[in-house]
Amino acid sequence: MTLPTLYITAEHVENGMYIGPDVSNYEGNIEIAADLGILKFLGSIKAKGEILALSGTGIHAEKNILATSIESDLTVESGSAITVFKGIKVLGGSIRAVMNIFSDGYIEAFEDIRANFSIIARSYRQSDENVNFIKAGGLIASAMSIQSDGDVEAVNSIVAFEGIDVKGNIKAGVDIIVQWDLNVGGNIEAGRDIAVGRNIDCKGRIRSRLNTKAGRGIKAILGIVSGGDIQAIENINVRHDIKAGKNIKSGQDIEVGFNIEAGGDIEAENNLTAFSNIEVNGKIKAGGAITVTGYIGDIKS
Amino acid sequence: MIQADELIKAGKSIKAVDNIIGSSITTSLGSIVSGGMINCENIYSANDIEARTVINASDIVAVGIVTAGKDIRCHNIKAKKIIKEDKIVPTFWPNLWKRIASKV
Repeated sequence: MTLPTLYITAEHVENGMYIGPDVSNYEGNIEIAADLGILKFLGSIKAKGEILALSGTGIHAEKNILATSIESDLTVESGSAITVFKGIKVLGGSIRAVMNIFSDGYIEAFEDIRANFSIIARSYRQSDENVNFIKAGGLIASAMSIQSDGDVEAVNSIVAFEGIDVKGNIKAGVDIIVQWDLNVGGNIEAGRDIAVGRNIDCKGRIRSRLNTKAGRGIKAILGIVSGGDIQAIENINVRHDIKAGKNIKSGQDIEVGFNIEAGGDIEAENNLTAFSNIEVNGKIKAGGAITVTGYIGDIKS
Repeated sequence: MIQADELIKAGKSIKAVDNIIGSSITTSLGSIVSGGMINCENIYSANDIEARTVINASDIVAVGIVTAGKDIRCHNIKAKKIIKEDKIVPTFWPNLWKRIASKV
């Protein structure tokens, strides 16, 4: 069944405010004409089908925005939540919500994606049609959590005041900052620092140009490569190699499946174990035992 | 420097430009080479043991050659060859390595 389409044009707009027919529960698609700027809706805007804002038009709703999908040329803002079942794409602006931004598919913005609650791209309907990802040309910032069944990518930083739970890869051009846990099913990559308040649990590889730091432990299956320090208050557990441009420090054990290489010192409050070699430019210090299957050596020697 | 409060164990060699300090040092295949001193309760090397300055230990066992730039202070030593044999200082002082390590 084809859904009817409501065309919102300049005649429905007064001083940038929408004054047309009620769109708080429209049983069809909504298409907003071009060059209307960021159009303000005093209540909610809900469509059973798609919401399309053409070139030079954006959406600002005082309450919720809900649709099967949203495509907008300019910023999409909500005074409450944004909920979409397929995806939301903003070609030339940001996506902002005072509460959650939830998508059963993707969330994509040319600039920032910001929410005072969570940013979620997760398939709860278990549908194979939807592709989950969160992608921003700027910052991705959430005052709560960021969750995705696919990848999360930002040209700028990715910041969450609670946790980040991603089944795919997470990549930030600048920092990844998380107050609680960072759980990632793929790789973690940051152009600068990775700073996590609690645990980092990565099923892939962790890569940071500068430091990788965790308030508790770090677990990485495919290894860690950092240009600066690698630091954890609790254990560092890596199945492959670990390489740091500067120091590697753990408040408990360091256990590595293959090699450990550090441009500075390696320090573990308890045991230091590597199932291959340890190469270091500075000191190696352990409160417990140092056990290595290969050799232990200074890079200088 | 390589320092551990407990065992230092390597499948191959252990090499440091500075001191090596630990309760026991063991290699299963390679040598133990230190650019400074070696302070340890027990030292076992499947190959050579080499220290630029002193070796402080209770027991030293090396399949190869033990070399020290200065003294070798130990209780027991067993090796294929010991260089600086004239400078072996028989010492029986439990936890000697720890006393010395704390001053390092």
